[in-house]
Amino acid sequence: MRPIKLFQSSGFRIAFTFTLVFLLAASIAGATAFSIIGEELVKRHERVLASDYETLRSTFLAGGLTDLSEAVAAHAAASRNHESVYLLLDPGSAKIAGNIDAAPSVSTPQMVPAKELGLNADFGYFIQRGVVGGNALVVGSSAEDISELQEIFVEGSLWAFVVLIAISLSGAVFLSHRMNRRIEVIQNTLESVADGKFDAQIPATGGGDDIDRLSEIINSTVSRLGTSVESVRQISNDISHDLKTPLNRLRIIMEEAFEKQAAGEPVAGEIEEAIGEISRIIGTFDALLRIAQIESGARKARFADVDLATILENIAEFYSTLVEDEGMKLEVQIERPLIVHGDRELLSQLFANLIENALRHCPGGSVITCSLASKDSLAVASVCDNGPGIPENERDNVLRRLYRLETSRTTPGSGLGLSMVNAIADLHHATLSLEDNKPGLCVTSRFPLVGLKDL
Amino acid sequence: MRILLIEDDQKTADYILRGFRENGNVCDHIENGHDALFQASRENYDVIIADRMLPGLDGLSVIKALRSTGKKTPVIFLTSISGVDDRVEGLEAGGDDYLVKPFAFSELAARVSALARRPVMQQEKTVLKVHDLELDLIRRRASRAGKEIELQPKEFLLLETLMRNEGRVLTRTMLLERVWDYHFDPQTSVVETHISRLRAKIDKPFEVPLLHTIRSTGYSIHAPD
Ligand SMILES: Nc1ncnc2c1ncn2[C@@H]1O[C@H](COP(=O)(O)OP(=O)(O)O)[C@@H](O)[C@H]1O
Ligand SMILES: [Mg+2]
Repeated sequence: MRPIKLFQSSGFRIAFTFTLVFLLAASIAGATAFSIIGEELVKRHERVLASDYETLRSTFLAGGLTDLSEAVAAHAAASRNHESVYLLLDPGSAKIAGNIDAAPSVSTPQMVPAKELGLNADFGYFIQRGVVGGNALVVGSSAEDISELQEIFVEGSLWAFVVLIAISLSGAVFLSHRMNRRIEVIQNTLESVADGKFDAQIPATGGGDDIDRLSEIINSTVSRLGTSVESVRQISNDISHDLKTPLNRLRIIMEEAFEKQAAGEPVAGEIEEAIGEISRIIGTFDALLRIAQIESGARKARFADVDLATILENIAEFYSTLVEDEGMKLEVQIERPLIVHGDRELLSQLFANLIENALRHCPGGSVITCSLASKDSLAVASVCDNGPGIPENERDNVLRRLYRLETSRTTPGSGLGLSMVNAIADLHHATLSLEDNKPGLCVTSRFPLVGLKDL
Repeated sequence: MRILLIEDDQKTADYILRGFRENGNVCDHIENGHDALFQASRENYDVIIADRMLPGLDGLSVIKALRSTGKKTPVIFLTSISGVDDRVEGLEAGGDDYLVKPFAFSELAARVSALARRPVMQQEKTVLKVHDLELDLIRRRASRAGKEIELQPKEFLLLETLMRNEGRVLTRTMLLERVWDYHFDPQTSVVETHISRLRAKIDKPFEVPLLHTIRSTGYSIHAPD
């Protein structure tokens, strides 16, 4: 048996694909959150800067340049580690006060690298620059919080991804292992079926999932296959046993003809007898083939809704003249219409075989009763007689191909009539039962009825 | 009658050809499907007898192809598989009749002649006549020499089938198929009993018999020669 490789296993592939999709989704969600938070932070910085700048400007309006330069110097002194930066330049761009020495000229508040402010840091600064009484006033605040957030976010995301990948990969491996084990069980089972062990079955895990359902279908297919194979085996056995007799007879006839011909006697009688024997053998083969064809189920494709009552009535009418000529009586009790899903041709043959059996195996004066009625959503059809009947211990046997009762040795027939009846009933999902009619035989078949609403 | 036989088994072909030629028919024989299709579409035959299993193009495909060219020559299929499915397949492919191998020549001959002279005019007739026997298809009445004969519906259909084929032999299985639409082989003499019932009504009370039994073949209705 070939082991299933990890990447070829469908469980792994599904889990792997799912992981990729999940990671993509997580990345998109993360990026969105990141940009929203970033924007919020920037807005906050802008608000703080604007209010700082306004405060300083109002100082100038109230107390002039002296007050402003003092205020700038006080603010600058209050800011530790250059959290906030301030710079006041006179119209000649010379520094009056502040905690930085230079600032780029920007027209709107924006982020600039620390280097441009003469500072040494790896994060940027938001700065706002304006002119107050001819002097340049610059206020700024460090964007360290934003870069910190970025770092935390990237690091956090990386770890989350690593954990996510680890968990889902081990999930994938687990799933694929579980799936592989079940598929291997199915493989093993089918391999033993291929070796001819038709009783092999895939055990159900009880979960009722798709693999369980698949297993059930495989199981029922295999057991049906087994039945067919067994029936083929049985047929070939039966045929080889039972056809030996007529073939032997044929051989004897031909040998006799040969001797007679050597003695100069006419052999027309022997030839006619031989042809008769051969016709019977051909008839047996035809019937066997027909049974096999019925059992194969191919005929199901042509099933239609048919009225069992009409079928039985027509067959009974068809045989009524012969029954009379044989000195018997045919009674018909039919409830109608009874619709079943089936093959008119085969159902006709089923009843024909049963009536012919009664005609053949019952003495003159017997009464044959054909009846049809519905009971518990089944169409119950029986053909009964008051003849010799079939002993209870033989009732299963007579359904076998070519099997005939010892007492019927001299009556014509091939022992295939009831086998065909059985095969036809089976094809129609009908149950067949042979019962004692006290005296006589009663053969009853129960067909599932088609609801009248379907008509 | 001009007959085309498409059959690859030499023994079977010889048997069929000899039978038809002895009866004064012209028979062509072709062994494979491709040549048969060519021959059948070029010539006008009265009947084509086609084996279903042939080397190359199988019989079913030959007839399907022939029908698609618009040729309506009657076709009878021969097959070694028995069962109604094959019959239905054959009919669906454009075949007109169907016979399972092995068969008696008389059965094939009866079917071929029923196909070949399939009466077109007869079908429009409303009263069938054989000698002094009359069957009124509209009023569903039978009479002989002016005397009314009462028939059961199936007896009527049986007589109608025989009279439509006046002078031709209808075998037991042909009657079974045409009158009762049964395609299985009864192991009893059930068809014979229907014939004898019919005979008792249309022949017994009269001097000249019209319904004849053809030994080991079937039945035929015709006027005295
Ligand atoms: N109605 C019946 N009464 C008594 N015996 C019967 C009846 N039907 C069938 N049997 C017995 O069952 C056997 C098998 O029947 P079947 O399969 O029809 O074969 P066949 O009729 O060709 O012998 C018969 O040989 C006969 O012994
Ligand atoms: Mg029987």
